[in-house]
Amino acid sequence: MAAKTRDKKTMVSASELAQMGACERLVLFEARYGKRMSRCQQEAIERGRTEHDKFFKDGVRSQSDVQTSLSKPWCFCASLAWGPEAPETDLLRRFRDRILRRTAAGRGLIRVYYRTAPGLCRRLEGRRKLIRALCLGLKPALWIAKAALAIQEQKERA
Amino acid sequence: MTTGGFLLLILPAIAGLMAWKMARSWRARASERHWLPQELQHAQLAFAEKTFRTWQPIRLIARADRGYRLNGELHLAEFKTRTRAVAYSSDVIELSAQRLVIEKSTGERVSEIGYVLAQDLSGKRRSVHKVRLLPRADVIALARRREAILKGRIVPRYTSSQGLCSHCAYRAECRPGQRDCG
Repeated sequence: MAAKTRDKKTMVSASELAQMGACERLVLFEARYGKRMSRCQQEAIERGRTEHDKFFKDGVRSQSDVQTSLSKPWCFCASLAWGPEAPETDLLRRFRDRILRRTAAGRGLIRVYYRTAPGLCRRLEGRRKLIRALCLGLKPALWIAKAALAIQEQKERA
Repeated sequence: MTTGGFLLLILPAIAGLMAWKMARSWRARASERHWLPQELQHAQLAFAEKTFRTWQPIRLIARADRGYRLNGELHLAEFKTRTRAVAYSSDVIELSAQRLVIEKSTGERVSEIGYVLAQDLSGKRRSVHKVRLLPRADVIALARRREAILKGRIVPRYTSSQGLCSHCAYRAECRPGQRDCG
């Protein structure tokens, strides 16, 4: 966090640099008097943010394994049920990366899961009984993942 | 309710949900294909809204809207909402700075051609503008000029854009009326 703040202070961003192409005096005045915006500029920025957000979501919907620095618009049920570093979560992650991601149908399934999981996780958060039910519900997925990974490893060894 | 009855109820519901989600994903992909320029139609979306940092040759940080990988090269795209369907010089600078940061931080080659996707205010019309990015030396020189302006070593230039000037919140301090007085 401290490193991030330090970076922000000492680094120049691409968008700050881009301002030089719009107006050099604006760069100086913003640094001297602080950021000041007219009402229409504020509205334009707000509108831009909303559209940017839609554009970002379109991108990750069209390709689920895209890299991003923003918090991804999905979360994992397994992380909620067992914790992000739990062996069960790790097993399902390996199943996703080694088995599902290799086929078109698997990638489709990942996409569907990524679309469905966030809403479900948001509803379950903090509800212990429902999370326990989720653990039970995910057990068959764990068994399938374990068996599929074992077969895969055997094939790779052979 | 029997297990069979329960499954008869739940399975179509799950199938319906999956179909809806897949349709949404296809729609997103179709929307992507719609605006993507011909040369990027088969490119893979490598990153979206990803932040990159470099400390050399200048301390620069950039968040790229989109990066597409094609034939071992990255192609950058910047999304803008604006009334006029044009690419400004500030867009070119932003993409050029992103290119410098990405090349320095990842070692990957970034194309010297970038794309500005301008969307109108209604959100219905999009236009893509192909731009040639600035050489790395120009980006570094611009960053140094900015630094010199902020330290008061260089007098900053007035903008040539009347529209930008007329809506600026610093008109009182800037006094653009005196720009031609010497």
